[in-house]
Amino acid sequence: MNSGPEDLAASPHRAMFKCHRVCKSYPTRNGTLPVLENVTFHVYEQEFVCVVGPSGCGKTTLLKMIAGLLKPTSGTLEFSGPLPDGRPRAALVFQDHGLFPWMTVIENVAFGLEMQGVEKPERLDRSRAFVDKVGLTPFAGSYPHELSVGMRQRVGIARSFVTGSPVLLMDEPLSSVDAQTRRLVQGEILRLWRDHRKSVIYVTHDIEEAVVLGDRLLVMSGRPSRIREEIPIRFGRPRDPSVNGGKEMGAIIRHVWEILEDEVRKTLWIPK
Amino acid sequence: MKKVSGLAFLTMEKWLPAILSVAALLSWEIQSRAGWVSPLFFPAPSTIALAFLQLLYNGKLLSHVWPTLSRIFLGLAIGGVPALLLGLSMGWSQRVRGIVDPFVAAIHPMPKISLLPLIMIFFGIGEASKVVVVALAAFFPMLINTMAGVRQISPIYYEVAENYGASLLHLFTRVVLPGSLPMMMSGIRLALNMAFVITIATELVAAKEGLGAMVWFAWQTLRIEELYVSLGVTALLGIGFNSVLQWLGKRLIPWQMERVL
Repeated sequence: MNSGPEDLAASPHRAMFKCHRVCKSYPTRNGTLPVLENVTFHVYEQEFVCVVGPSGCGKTTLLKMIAGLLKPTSGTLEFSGPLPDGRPRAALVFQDHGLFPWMTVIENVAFGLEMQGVEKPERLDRSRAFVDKVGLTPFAGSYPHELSVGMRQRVGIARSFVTGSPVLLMDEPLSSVDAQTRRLVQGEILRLWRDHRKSVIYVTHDIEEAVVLGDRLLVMSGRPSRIREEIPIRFGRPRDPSVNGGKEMGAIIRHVWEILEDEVRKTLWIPK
Repeated sequence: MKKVSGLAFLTMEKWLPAILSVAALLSWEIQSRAGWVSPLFFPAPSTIALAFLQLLYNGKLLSHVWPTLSRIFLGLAIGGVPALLLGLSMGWSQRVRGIVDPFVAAIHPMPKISLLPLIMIFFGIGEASKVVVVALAAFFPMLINTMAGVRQISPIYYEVAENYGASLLHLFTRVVLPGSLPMMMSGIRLALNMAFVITIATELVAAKEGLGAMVWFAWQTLRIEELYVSLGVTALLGIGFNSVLQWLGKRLIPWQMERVL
């Protein structure tokens, strides 16, 4: 924990996950394209970390590396503790939900358990409990195309929780949901996170969402991305920038935007 | 599926086709009986119906239908099953695709019926060569659709499966097979239609039994009502195949149903 800021080193929890000097570059026709550069951070047990950054900055790449779907070009990604029995170390919630269209809601939620070899009656029982927790019991037998976008995303979230993975990775899960649905689903995510004591890495481009959800914010720069700043957020939940703690939260949102504005201008070529 | 209300069968697009067909048959009947059209070439529908019943009763019709059906389904099985397996591996592996693609490109565009004489040199003039031509015709649509079916599966589903620790077997049974099933089903439909066409065509030129042979003999012996009967039965078979496949598709691919809205 030597590289973490002081106040985090004092955290009562131990680090669940360490990302140390990770670089990632992709080969292209014109040489290599560096996407991530020296990314170092820790995620502690039961911590909710939000990652914000300009679009195309490699946030998804970072999550896919943590999920084991991509390999870093250099650097290390390390989970602490023994590998849980067959469970994925980190379950990923995809941006466009990634539900299998050929499986019903309950089958989709049970997919992780099925891959772990859990017997059918048990995996259905455990999955039903989570379908119920996201309030979709009446739709357990429906196919994804019969659900609204917000409902599909909740199925994706239930699917990641049911596997029992200690770390959950969420890749802009609410970016295609309307604002009202987003507020409600944010509440649902927080409730599930609190009840099941997971570590969450939540990628978003919405600064306000990051401030409402996270214990800590990682602000990333444009490509090649580094972590520009780590911002701890110490307000109690539920947070509502327009009601409680409005001033302080507003100050954080403004501060993050000041960092990001430059980066976004650079990526979009908008002069000041 | 669109919800249909109780009185929907009264809508115009439902009853108008029925009335039009009855009117057409009626006017055909009258014109044929009155001799306004040649009864030799346009026998009255009632005459054709009578001939149909007669052929059904004396077993002649079924003795032509069975050989046709058995050629279609034997050909479909012999051509379709290897095509399914090869199509899956071509969709899965770029290497297999690279090796097999040139051969597919060379043979696929060729009208398979034109290969019949060559195949008869190898397989004789008996049943085998007919089935081989039909199998060859069924092979390519099945192969190409299965391969395309596997290739159009979005990479995100492989990522989800990998993230949740799917084995290769799970990847195959839970992602590749169901993901390509809709395209496979349309491959089966195309293969069946192709097998049907080629079976009839083969029988027209090289068989003594079968619906195609029946059409040809009826023409040569100028038994025109039998010609109409065999054409009518051929059409009915085609309609039957397609509705069975449609029903099967709905059962096998429930997630492809139109939105219930």
